[in-house]
Amino acid sequence: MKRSIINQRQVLAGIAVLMLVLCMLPSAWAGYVSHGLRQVVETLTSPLSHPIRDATLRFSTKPRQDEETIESLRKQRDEYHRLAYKLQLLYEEERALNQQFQQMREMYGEFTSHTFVSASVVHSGNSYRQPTLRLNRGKRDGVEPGQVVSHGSQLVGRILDSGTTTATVGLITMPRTHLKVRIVPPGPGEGGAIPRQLEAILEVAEDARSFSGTVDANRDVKVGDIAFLADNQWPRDGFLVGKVVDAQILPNDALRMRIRVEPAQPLHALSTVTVLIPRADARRSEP
Amino acid sequence: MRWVILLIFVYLFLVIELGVSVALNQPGQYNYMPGLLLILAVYVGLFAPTMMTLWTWLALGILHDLAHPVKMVDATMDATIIGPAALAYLAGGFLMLQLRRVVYRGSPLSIAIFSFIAGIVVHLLIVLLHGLRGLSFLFLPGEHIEGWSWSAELVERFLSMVVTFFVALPVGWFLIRAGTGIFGSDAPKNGMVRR
Repeated sequence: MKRSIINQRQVLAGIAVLMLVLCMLPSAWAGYVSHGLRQVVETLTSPLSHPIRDATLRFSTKPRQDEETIESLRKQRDEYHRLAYKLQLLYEEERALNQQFQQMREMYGEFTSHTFVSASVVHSGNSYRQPTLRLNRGKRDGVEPGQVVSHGSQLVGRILDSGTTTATVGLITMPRTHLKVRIVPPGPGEGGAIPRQLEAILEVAEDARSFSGTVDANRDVKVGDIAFLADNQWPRDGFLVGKVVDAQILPNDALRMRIRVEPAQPLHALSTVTVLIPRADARRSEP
Repeated sequence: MRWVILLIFVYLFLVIELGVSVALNQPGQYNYMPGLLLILAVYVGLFAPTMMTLWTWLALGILHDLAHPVKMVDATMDATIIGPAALAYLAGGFLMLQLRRVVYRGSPLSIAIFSFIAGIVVHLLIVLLHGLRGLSFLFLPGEHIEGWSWSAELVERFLSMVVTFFVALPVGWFLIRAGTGIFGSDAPKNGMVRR
């Protein structure tokens, strides 16, 4: 009887050893070896397995997909509402800044010698002794001590000190502040005539919110007149200090009249201001 | 046993397993997929001659590897590794040959029980071989399957074996009923099988 050299058991054993070797190959090599066979299996099984898979998925996962879709839509909707609210806040901020710039342009023309840097107020120090504002701009943005801060045409104060990313503004309502102003009536003079002007020196009143000063009683000062900065100790004139809210003859001196000037809006309640950076300082701050 | 009919049933069972596994083997959830190929292998192991049993179990193991690629850590594509299931199924086939002499083979319950018992050996070996592949030692490749965990794999495969046991009851009933007519299984319900 003929006996073959190799029997089935030996072949099986050899294949088992081969399987063991293939099992321990790195995945890249194992993938290379099995690629052809896998393609054959996929080609042969996909015509039937894919329809079965689709039918199974349709039957088993549809409610979960609906729930996930509704839940994800709700999350998207909430996210959009938050974004819309943020955009609304940004829009309001931008609009306020544009109004400030517009006022300054109308009153002073183009500021060719200065750069405007808008800043947000991150903290308001409301104490009587030290009314200050802390801004989110600093040396990195070219903000240096001594620079003028305004809110549109309203004078706010000066930079007291500045760090890398923040700065402190000393308001014009700080104690012992004296401002030389020019008081004029609101609007243009009649028939193009030069409006009456009055110079006065204002100091901070006891309430730390307004200014007071005395002028000759025969000067024509009315409530509603506007006080503009006319002080050469400030880098630039023309900023609005406030409006005259009271003008009374002094009880002890009939020849003198006390006037009270208030800023157009509470300075400690501002949320945004503009720092005027002289051009030389702006060039130094650029990278 | 007729090879052609066996091939057709292997194809059908493989297709069903691939199609249904997508729904039952969701990522992040336990695997409830019954091992249909394992049930068919057990049926063959109960009634087929010895070498046919071993070749069938080896072939089904290779098919299992080809149909279940794995994703390695830091790999962009799935990798098909032939070997772990092929060796595990071969070991299961040897176990079947030893156990089939002492049981009554005409009952679907036998197929279900053997599916569970053989499944223990098969899945343990698959987990062991995949775990060994993750070791960087000597000739071992040191590659980990993404999300691999010894305990999670064992729990998952145990659940799969439990489901396989229950699925094997109706499937085994059908296979036994159709055995003589379709497969040409001529083995007695107990006793020795023609070698």
